[in-house]
Amino acid sequence: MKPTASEWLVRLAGWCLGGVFVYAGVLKVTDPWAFADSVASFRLLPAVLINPVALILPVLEIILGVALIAGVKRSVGAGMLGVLCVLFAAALGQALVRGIEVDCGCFGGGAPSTARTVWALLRDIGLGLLAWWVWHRGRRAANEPVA
Amino acid sequence: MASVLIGLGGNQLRETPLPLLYETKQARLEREVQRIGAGQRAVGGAEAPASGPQVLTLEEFEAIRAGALILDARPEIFYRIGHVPGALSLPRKDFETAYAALGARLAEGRPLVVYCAGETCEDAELVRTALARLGHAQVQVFQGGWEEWQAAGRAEEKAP
Repeated sequence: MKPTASEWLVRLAGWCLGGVFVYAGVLKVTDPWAFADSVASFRLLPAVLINPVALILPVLEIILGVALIAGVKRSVGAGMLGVLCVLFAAALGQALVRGIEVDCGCFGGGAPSTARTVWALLRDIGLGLLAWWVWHRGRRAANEPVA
Repeated sequence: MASVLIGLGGNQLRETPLPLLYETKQARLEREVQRIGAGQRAVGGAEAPASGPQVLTLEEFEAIRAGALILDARPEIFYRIGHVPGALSLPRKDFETAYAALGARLAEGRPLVVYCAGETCEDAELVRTALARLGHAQVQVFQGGWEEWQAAGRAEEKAP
């Protein structure tokens, strides 16, 4: 069966989303120290959890991103990335509300800044919406009877 | 989950694995300072007394630039891409190695000025404290850092 135009659109969205997360994950995997400092700057996790999160999260981003690019379990991957986006939004949002200057660390370490945190939050919401759309389309396609 | 195994297992294959318990930047740097100090002489309990302002504006920085030794506290990759002309690389994250590599240059007796990415980065202040703890008497921070230097359209130098 030839993929339809909308199927191609979902694939394209999956590739973009997957690419962004693979890129983000690779940057973090190469410097876990910097990412651990970023995680710590959010002042959410106790010291025992910071480094495990700094080691595991980037790998999860890469695995889900690769799955999305390859089109393997696309809607599961998109769904899980969507959940990550919600968690990231919560972390960024609490920092803004509490007035903590965080170093997002989204795409490698940088300098803490409120303006960059707002921008990171908007970017994260955009990615989250894209993930939700890919997940939603995948689910709908699965529920439709095969023509 | 695969990412847990790869994340934690892969870490053990690194040259220096990330320890499982988080240590702040300050604590990591302080340990490096202690190690360097043990090698040369005892590290003073307090910082060496400072003279003049600790934090420099762009104008103040430019006024003393010629006579000072400028140090770039950002990760080395950023130094290679572009830095203040004449600056040497002393990254906060590889402080111990870079400090040893600079060796005699730091002991020339010129005042030291440290900068990092911009106004909100912490690396310059961390390196300044570390240098002061190691007995360097005059260490200042150019607060605006690379961001202000670039924004002001000043000359840039790339690593050879």
